[in-house]
Amino acid sequence: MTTVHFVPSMLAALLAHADDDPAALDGARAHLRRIVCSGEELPRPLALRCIQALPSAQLHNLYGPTEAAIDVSAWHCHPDALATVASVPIGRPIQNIDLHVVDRRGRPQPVGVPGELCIAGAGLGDGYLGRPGLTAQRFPPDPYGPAGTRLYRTGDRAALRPDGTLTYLGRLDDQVKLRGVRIELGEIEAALRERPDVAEAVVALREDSPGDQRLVAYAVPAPGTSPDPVRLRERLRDTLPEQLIPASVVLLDQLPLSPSGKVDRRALPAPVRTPVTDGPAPATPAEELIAAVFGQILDTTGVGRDDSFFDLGGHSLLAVQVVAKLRRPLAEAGWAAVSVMDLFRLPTVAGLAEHTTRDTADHGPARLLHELRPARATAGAHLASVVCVPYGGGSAVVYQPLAEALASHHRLFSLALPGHDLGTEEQARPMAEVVPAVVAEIAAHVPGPVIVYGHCGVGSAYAMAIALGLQAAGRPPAAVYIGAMFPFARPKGRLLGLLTRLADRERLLGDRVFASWLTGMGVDLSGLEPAEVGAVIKAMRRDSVEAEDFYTDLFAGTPPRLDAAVISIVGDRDPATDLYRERYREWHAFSDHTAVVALDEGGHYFINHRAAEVAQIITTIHPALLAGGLQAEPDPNPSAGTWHVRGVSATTTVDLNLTDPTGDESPTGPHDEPDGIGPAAPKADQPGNRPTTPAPSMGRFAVVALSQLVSITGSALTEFAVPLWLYTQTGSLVGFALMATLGLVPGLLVLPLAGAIVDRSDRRRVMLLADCAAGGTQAAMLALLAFGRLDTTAVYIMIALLSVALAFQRLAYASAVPQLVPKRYLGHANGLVQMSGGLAQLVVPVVAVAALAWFGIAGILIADVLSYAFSIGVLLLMRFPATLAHSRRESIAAEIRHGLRYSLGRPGLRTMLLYFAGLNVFLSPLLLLLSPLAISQGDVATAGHVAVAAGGGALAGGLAVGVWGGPRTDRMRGMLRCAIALGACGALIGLRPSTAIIGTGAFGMLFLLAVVNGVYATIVQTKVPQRFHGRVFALNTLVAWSTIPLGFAVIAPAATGAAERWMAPGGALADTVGVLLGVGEGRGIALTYLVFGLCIAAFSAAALRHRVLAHFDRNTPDAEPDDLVGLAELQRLTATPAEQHADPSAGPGAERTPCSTT
Amino acid sequence: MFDDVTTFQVVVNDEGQHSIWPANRDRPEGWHAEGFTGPRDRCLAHIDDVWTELTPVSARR
Repeated sequence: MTTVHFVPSMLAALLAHADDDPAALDGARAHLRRIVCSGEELPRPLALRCIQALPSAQLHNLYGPTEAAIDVSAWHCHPDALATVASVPIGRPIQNIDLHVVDRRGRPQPVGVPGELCIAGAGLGDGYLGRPGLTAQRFPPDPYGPAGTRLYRTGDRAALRPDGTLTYLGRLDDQVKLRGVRIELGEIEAALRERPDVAEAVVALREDSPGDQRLVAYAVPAPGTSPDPVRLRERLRDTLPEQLIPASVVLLDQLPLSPSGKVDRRALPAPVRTPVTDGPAPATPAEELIAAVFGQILDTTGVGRDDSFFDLGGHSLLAVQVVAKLRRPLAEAGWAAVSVMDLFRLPTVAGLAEHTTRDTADHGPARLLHELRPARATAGAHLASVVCVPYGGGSAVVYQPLAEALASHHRLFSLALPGHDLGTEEQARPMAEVVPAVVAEIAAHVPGPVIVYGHCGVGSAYAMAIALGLQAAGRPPAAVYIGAMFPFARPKGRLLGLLTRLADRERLLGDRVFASWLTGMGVDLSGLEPAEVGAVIKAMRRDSVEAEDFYTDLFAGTPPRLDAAVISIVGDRDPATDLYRERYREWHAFSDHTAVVALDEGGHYFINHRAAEVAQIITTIHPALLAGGLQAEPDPNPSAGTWHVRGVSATTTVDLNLTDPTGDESPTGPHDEPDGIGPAAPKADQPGNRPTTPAPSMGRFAVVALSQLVSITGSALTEFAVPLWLYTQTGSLVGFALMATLGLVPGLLVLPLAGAIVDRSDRRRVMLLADCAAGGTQAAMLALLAFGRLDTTAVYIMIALLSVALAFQRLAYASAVPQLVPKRYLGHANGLVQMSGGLAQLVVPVVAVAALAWFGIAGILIADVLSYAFSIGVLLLMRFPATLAHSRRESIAAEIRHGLRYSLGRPGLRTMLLYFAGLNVFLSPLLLLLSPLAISQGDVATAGHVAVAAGGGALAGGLAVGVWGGPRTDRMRGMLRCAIALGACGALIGLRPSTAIIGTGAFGMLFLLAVVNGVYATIVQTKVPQRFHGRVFALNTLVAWSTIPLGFAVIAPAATGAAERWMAPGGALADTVGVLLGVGEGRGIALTYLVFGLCIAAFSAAALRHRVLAHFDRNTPDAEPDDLVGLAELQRLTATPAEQHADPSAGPGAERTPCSTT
Repeated sequence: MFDDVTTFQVVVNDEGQHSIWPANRDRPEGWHAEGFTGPRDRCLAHIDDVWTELTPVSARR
């Protein structure tokens, strides 16, 4: 035999014989002239061994799939050539074959850039027998070849080398994603094979316990060697970055092969969870405790005293669990607590044990700053140190990716706030104590120059405080970078301060709400116990308050100045830094130089996923700024790149207390609110240049808010009272239902148009026009009433017009709030608006009934017209600042459209949508008919009482779900159970002719409705990435409300019409159902309540058993972190313009978010 | 290849072989629109229905 052709695995087997019996290959050595390998990758070490063992045989590496002439390329493994390559190339194409390396869009890749290998030419097979669709998929048209020819997509990755040969880089699906990081399994395999004591290697991503994904490497030792898997793993650190280090290395005698001789990955064994170390066992009680906890968390046994947590497969998330589990036992034993940072510094059992049993007096004061070192230490001249403060809820290690990205010339020190580590009982210390301590540590241990970085609320406050402290201590920082936040403060005036405190809903919000919000933002809490999560959130709240206090106090006086520039880094999709193009100048309160850099498609926690870009920014922007060469990039996207400078500003004078433009020169008096800086005037540095528009102020906002509250209450009064009045006049239920529909639907229909108009117009003008329209319709009604011409048709028309006007008014007002207030108070301002609106809703029914009784409909209309006169007057007198108002990112119509595409592609959301549509068909008549039922039971006053009960229920329900936060797990099932109870309450309402029962039922129904809505919001928050929330909510609102006309205008009147007849004395059901419900007027409505309530309960119970909804919580994965979605979107955006128009959220696959393709 | 494309068109060549191509791009020479467009999976399913003879036209007989 002179020529052999087989797969490399067989070659390995053949050569292995020689290890056992050196003479086994004698025959081969004598006769073999050619060895041809194909079918699998030929590892370089194997090729070298073959040449060594069989020097007179030529070795050829062939490549090719069955679908194209079996082998399409070849490379002769000449010993000299082999010495110069890192992996065995697959060579050049054979005759009549062309090989192309293409990118994801099918375009050729340049030399050296990996892509998918495609084969063209005569050797292509016709296709897969009986599988035309698969054939079409694997054989696309060939755009480079003769007309009508095809390519074959191999699914292999390859790259073109300069000499025209090709390198094989593994399968395309050998790229996996682990914890958000893309990993090339082939890279790890190659690194292992380079070890002299490794003959073959394969790496797989395994999930042997659900939710716990780990990289496992399998290695076959080189003959004559017995490597230690733990040492092997350690040595990988020389060449591979941290994320690529496998959790464990498993030694195998041989790799399992499939019948065709290739490696059978499915047959790879699950790693046995014992560390393959023969190291000494734990010796002391402390070591035993720590080893036991390691073993528990890592699901392994036999942990030795020298084993490192991270070598055993641990990572930072598990580290938090270890530290939390150790807390109580260590405390009980009287040993020192262990923090996450301690575990990072001393990862071995012995090291940690020694630390914890050392007499606490020897510990020295706990350090606040911890240096985070990159895995691969590189030498380089020290340029600067970066001091980082983590975001609320994060620990110091969140900056590890940034440390890795900064690598060579920068050292990174991260602040571990006391009392934030789950391992320690250490108490939190106030900012006023911590900041000077940090400044002292920086003076002692951190080499300069110092760049300060803080992320989000807490991070930004501490960062500013530390920067100010450094300045005062004579060591001014080189720059201050603030991520994802602008100043936020509380208004300090007496009245406003009190009101804001009352309106501070955040205090009332339960922990679970925070937890859901955190999960929605992509912070991973899944590994923590409830108690641990509670501790994290408690710390978050405290930090938040402290941070706000910091800014509030600073802005109340004159903040000290920094020499350094303050530069904002924001994600352009982060709602927390909306309006960043204006707001970054708020940092002029601290510095003369500011700028803002926006990350494309970045979310709120971009520090976790965009560390490389942040590293670039914090090292290049401030030098450019100080050199005077930094400019904002013009819109729209001009340059390539994933982040852009969006604003640069310099000022030489800062006037915190802007003089009043109408001429009053007095600075702020004790009863005035200090105004914010007026960012409207771009030339604020020119002395004597008075801003021509007023500055935003809380006072201005308060006046406008009050006037709007008055007019909105007025129209709510009208909306409540007029239908009631008409009903009492006509007794027509159909008319009542029609009126309710006309009061709701026109406003809804006009909403998309209104949104678009408001966004493009002067908010004040729209508010004025809307107020005039609203007031005008009511004045018209009043006039018609006075002339006795107010008939039902006129009322219908007026109500419809009013609905449209109100839609405009509310939209314009809501988006104008940011324009009116100094934006650091924006959170509180919105809270005030919400609170006042909610109270008004509650108060209106009572007042309306009373007013109707005392003053009649005329009185109400007069009051309403007057309220609008007031608010119009205020608007006419008030000038709005020229600051930015709130604009929608996309139009309401687009939002709904995109929400539709997003939801329709996901069975869970789709089914939930259908459920809500059905629910609302039954529910809306029940909400509508409360007043008529109550009137039939008593009179208009009764209607008022029932309305108050309902309003109270809604308020209480909203509060309850806010405090409770909804069920922690199984939210969908919990929500459906509440809906069943809701149906029961609805049925209760109709059960007896008693006001008390009606009121109780109404309270319960609205209470449960608020809870259902609250839980639904949590579901969307946790299952949908943050940036798509608006779309999903917009669509769901549309679906829910679109069934209301059906319920109002069709079902309710029809049902009640017939039902009233049946329940009249002597009617069809008088003797049966009527015994329980009563007979007479209104009992038909009661029957409707009974039936529809039971329908709601039954429908919800059926939904509970529906396959998709019953398993929704389990089958729908939690939302991917917003920033990962952004990263995927970034990759899409580098596609051709035509493909950009494709909707990113209409992704492939049912339950997955759009990034499954990465 | 074409990982980011959402809408495809079904195309046919003179040999009667079917395949798919991004809907908003010019077809390579020698390929005609069969008429069906839609998401990838639907196009492939359509091809499963209509492409009955995998042997190229010139090779038949």
